[in-house]
Formats: sequence, C-alpha cells, structure tokens
Amino acid sequence: MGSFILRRLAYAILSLALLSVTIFFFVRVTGDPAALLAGADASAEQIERLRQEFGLDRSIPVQLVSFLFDLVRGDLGRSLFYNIPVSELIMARLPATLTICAATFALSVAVGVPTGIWTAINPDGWLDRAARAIAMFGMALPSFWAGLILILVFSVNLNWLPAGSGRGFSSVILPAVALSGYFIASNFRITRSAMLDVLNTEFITLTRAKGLAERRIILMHALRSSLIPIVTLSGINLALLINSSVAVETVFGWPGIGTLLFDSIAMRDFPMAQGIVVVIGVFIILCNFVIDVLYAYIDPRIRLAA
Amino acid sequence: MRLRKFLFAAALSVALPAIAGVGSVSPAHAESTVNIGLPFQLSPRYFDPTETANGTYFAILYAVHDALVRLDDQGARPSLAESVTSNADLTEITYRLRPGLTFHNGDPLTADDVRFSLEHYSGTSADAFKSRIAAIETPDELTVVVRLHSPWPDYAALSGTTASAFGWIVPKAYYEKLGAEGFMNAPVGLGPFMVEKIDPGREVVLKRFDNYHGRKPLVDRIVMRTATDGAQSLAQVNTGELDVAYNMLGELGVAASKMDGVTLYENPTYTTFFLKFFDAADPDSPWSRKEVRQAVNLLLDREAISMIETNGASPATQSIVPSKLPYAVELPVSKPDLEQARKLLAEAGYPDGFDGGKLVPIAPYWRMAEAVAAMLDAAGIKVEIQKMERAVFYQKLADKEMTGVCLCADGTMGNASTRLGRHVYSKGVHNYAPVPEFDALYEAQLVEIDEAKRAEMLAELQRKVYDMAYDAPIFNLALPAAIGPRVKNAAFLVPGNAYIAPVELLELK
Repeated sequence: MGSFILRRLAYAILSLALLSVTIFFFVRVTGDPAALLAGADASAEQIERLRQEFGLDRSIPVQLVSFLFDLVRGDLGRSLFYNIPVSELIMARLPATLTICAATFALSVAVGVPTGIWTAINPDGWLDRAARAIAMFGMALPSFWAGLILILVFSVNLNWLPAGSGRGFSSVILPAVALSGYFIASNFRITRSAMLDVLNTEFITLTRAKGLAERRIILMHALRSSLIPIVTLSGINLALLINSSVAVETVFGWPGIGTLLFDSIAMRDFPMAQGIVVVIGVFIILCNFVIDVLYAYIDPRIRLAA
Repeated sequence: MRLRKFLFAAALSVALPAIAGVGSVSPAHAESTVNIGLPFQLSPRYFDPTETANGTYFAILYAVHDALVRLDDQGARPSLAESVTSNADLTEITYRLRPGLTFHNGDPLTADDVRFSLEHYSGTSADAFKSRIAAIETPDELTVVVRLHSPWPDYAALSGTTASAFGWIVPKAYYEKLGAEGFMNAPVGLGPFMVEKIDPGREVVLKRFDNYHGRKPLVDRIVMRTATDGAQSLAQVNTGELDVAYNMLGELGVAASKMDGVTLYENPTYTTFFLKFFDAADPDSPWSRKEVRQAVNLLLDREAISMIETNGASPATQSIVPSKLPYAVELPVSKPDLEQARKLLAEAGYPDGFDGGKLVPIAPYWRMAEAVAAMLDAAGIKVEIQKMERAVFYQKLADKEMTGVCLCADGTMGNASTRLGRHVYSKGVHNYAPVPEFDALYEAQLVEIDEAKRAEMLAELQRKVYDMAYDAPIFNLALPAAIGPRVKNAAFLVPGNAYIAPVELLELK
C-alpha cells in the first residue's frame, strides 16, 4: 500500500509540474500585459518601461525558471494588475467559489440521488422516462446559457432573485441552479444505474425473502452497496465543479476565483492566471489522488494490479 | 409510503431554503448608500493619482482624491488651491493652498505634499511635464511655485482638467511610509469620500469624509462594484442591486429605457470615434488620395451609426476635436452622398472602388465596424474587419505597426491643441501620416501666448485637417448609463467625463 501511495504521489507531482509549465507558456501566447496596462495613449517607451517593471523583458527560460523556483517555495508571485500577492487574492476569492460549489454540490446530491433511487425502484415508469429525458437535457445544457436564462426570467422579468452577488443566500440560488444541471443529471444517472445493479442481485432477493421492510432494504442494503460509485463520482464532481464555476461566475459577476481567472486572462495578468490554474490543478490532482488511494484501500485488486 | 416521504423530503431539503429566498430582492443596502457598477476591473492602481494612465482613473479619483485645480460642474477652478496665479509669459505658476486642509488620515496638507505629488507623477503626459518644468519650489508651507523652462500655454489644459492627473495630491509622508504598492491598497486622499474597504478587483466601499473642504457629500456611502457585463449590470439595476450601471450601448439602452423606474441617461462625452487612415503616407496606397478620403467621409451615414450604437444620442461630427473643447471650431458635417462619393473615387482613379485592406476596430465596437464596412462597400471599397484584442491593438498602435484603416476612439480631455497633437502632429503618439504644413502650424501655436492668435492658428489647423479629409470622424459618443429609481441626481456633471463626478453631488431621493 505504501509503495502504491508513493507511486501515485509521484504521478501527482509530475502532473502538477507539467501543468505549471503548460500554463506558463499558454498565458504568454495571449499577448502583452504591459500594452494593456499602459493603455491606448502609451508610447512604445512607456510600454517598455512597464515591461521592465514586470520583469517581462527577461528571456522566457529565465522567467520560467524564476516561476518554477518561486512555485516550489510556495510563492505564486504578485499580480500585475491588482498589484498584490496572488495567493492573497486567491484566498480572498476562494470562499465565494467554495460557497457556490458547496450549494451546487448539495443541490446535485439532494436532487440527483433521491431521484435516482426513486426511478431505480420504479424503472420504466413515466417518472423514470421523464427523469432520464430531463437528465439528458441537464447534461447537455451549457451552464452559462442556463445562467443567462435564469437571470432573464427570475431577475429581469419576475424580479424575484438578484442577478449578482452581495445579497446573501438569495444571491447563491441562481448561480447554484445554473451550475447544477450537469451534476444533478450525473448523480441521478449513476445512482439509478448502481441501484438497478444492486436491486437485481441475489442478496436483495434474500433480504426480501427474510421479510425485511422495503424501506430498510432500499436504504440500509441496496443504497449502501451502491454508494461506492456514487461517492467516487461525487469526488470527481467536486473537482469538476471548480472548473465549471468559471463560466457561471462570469455570467453572474460572482466574486470567486472563476471570475478572477477570466479577468486575469483578459488582462494578461500572467502571475494571477498561472497561480489560479496551479491552485485549481492542485485541487483536482489532490481529489484524484485521494480517490485513487481510497479505491486501492477499498478494492485490493486495484493496488495489486498497479 | 415512508420511503416516498423520505425521498421527497431529501429532494426538497435544498429547494426549500431556495424558495424561502425568493422575493427577497428588496434592496439590502442602507438608505444612503449608492451602489455603482463599474464597467472595468477595479485595480488598486486606480487609487494612486500619480499613476493615472487614462480617463478610467477619474471614476475613482473624483471620490477619493482632490486636485490643486479641479474640473467640476462649474468649470476648471481652484480646489485645494485657494488661488492660482502666473506671470506674464506663463513660465511661473504659483499655487496658494487653502489653509487647514487635512487628508483622510488627519495629516495636514502642506506644500511638501504638493511638490512630492507633482515630482512623483508618472501618468499621462508625465514626459511633457518633466521636460518643461524647470523647478518646483515651496517658499512656505502653503505656497508652491512651478517654474517652466519656456512658455507653455497648454499647462493649464493638461493640469487642471481630466486630461491628466498632474496636480492631484497624495500625502507625502504616508505615501513614502507605505510605498506605492502599499498606498494603492490603503489609499488616503483629500476627496469627499474616504476608503472604508477595498476588495481588489471586486468592490470598494467609500465613506463620506466629513472634513471635506468643498460641498458636503449628500450620501453616507458609495459602493463601487465591478460589473463589466452590460446585460448583467442592467439586470442588477432592475433588481435594485445597483443604482447606476454604465455603458448601456445598443440594445441594452433600449432595454433600460423600457424598464420600470429605470432612467437612461445619455452622458455626452468627449470621446470621438473616427476612421484613421494608417496608410495615408504611402503614395502607393489608395488612402493617400485626398479624393478617396473625402469619398469615405461622404459614404458614412453618421446618424445611422449613432442610432445603432447609442439610439441616436451621439451627435455626428466631422472633426476629431469635440466642439466643446477649448479652441474647437464648428465644422460642417457631410450628409451621406453616394453619387458624389463615386464621382470622387472616379477622379482618384478608382471608379469601381478598391481593396482597402484591413479595418481594425477598437474593442469591442465590432458592430460599428460592420456598419462602416457596409457603408464603404456601397461604393466598392472592400475592407476586411480584423478584430484585434485590446492589448494587441494598443501594442500595435504604439509601435506604429497598424496598416489599413482603424475605427479608433479618443476621449482625452484638454483642448484642441492636445487632441490634435496626438493625431495630427508628426510627433504625436498616434500619428501615422506626417504633414509638414500641420507640424508648422501646430508647433507655432504651442508657444503662442496671445490667446486670440493661438485660437486663430488652431482654427486654421482644424480647417486644414478637415479640408484634407485627414481622417473620417463619425460621432462624439454619448455614453448611456442606466439609473435606478432611488437616485435623485446621478451627478454626471463634469463635461466630457464618462463617469459620475463630482461625486459629492450624487444624491438619493
């Protein structure tokens, strides 16, 4: 088990290193932040002065080494646009992103899992067919489009809910609903599928033959046995949520790291964009690492095969 | 049955709080707090007047800082200065400061703060100030004397308006203690509002400064929040989350004007949109022919473009100098005339038009560029719209690497001289086609201290630029803003300024 964890850890570090180098080059092909910050009236000399101030006049390899060296020390650099440490701003914005992600996660579990259980118990009924059709729609629906429609209906036409942030819980509702379409659908599908598998096994037939109450059979036996894929998917979804939140945060002007990333790319704020991508990358790699280890712990075949 | 109840309860466990939140869109802000949506990312840089690189900074500066001479609803007038005097040949400007003024942190305003702010200034036109100022002296605590190497009639136009932030004052001791970066994140000024809280990139909360020397602010707090998406910020005005949202261009303006309780204010700015012919200096290019450029001026339906962008609120113009800027002259605006345009093109040797190359619009005015391209196409002038990201656009403009035609915009303040100097004068930052005759006139007026003579020179220069069809101006932008129902006076009172100012006049019902 120890060598399995070490191997996975090595893969995680390698993934992070590749991600860091990739994002370093990607942000640099987008353009020059000095020209953008200097503005339309700036002369070539003024732009060059800014470039020197930001250290962008150094060669790319020198900048890369400096970036990686700082990263190893845990220093994500200083934002060119906001002029404060990247880590400080990410920490300030992370709670907003986690709020929206937590709300979406809760919504997707609370709606997707019970619906999956229900339709697995009553397969091929009208509710099952309807739920499957809606799930397909939910998986295909782009969250940013859903966000725009929700703003149009609930903020502009009905004036029921805020279109932006800053109104406490009511501000979370529309972004969370917009973001949750895919996650509700995926939770529904995995729960339904897992439950159907378990409900057709002999041990469930045995529990019924023993005369256990149906509620007890479903919740204590069938659901418990179906939990592994559901929990696994939830872990993956948690990581995906952070990525997916970028579009929704932008639509709702939500002050999280998604909006920050979008703005950083638009403003060519290299350190900021690099820092956010690295943080998101660490989060995803960490999630995958934990899932891998849990898998190996739960199912010895996996660690033996590895 | 119990299982059904359980599943139903679980499904509603998240939905119920959501339902409870419905209908709670009533304004959560305090009675005298105004919420303003900013159409740009709120950078800490905007809080340091010494770095002012463009007009955007003034959205913040008017609230937090103050200047020796400040442009407000009553024109450019001494603000921190009690009086401003100059000698006969305009080489010595003396500022006498108002006594007893204090910064937000309680530090008194002294002549040292002023000298530091002027010497430390690195924003727009900094090079011009540095090269022309011989010395800045502080004979006593409340007097500052700026000595120039030679007469510079544009000094007042550049230092007492929103053309630059030279003359906006920061506290020397505090600034030096925190450094530039520290100051940006904890700014202290002399303006009507002090910074209560900054959330970089998101919002700033401003609190009324009771010791402000000028007119007392009419609201307790102002929250300025980044709201770069026009549609989303308009939705927030509709729900009451924002009281003011800028940049309601095109269909957003139409939507805003139809919303209950929302008012659309079309703020006349000094931002002129115009076509710039980058290749006019190349004798092999069709754009070098005066007849071609005149034809373009006749092909543009300026009122239609104004209708598309701003519902007709932006007045058509055929000069890059807005008529309300000092030394501007009124010049006639051509009506669209396709026949005459074709005739001019035939005279130039292009009876069927020509391939005009790229049309590069300033972001994000792609729609306007489409309209312009269609209008040129009517006479056979084919242009290919090249959308260019802002950073790339600015870089290429500065490096003078642009070719073809640009749909450009210039919103800088100042006067006719400063506006023409950027585009028409060969040493101007945006000049692509030097004309010796223009240079001679421009340089002569630049040192002319006789007002009347200077005005005549600048009028002549503007007429020559017009006659040569040096460029093809379109309109002066009226920037629509959506004003929510709580606002009594949105205070768009500084001529030409795109943002609310003077902020102390902002008032709720």
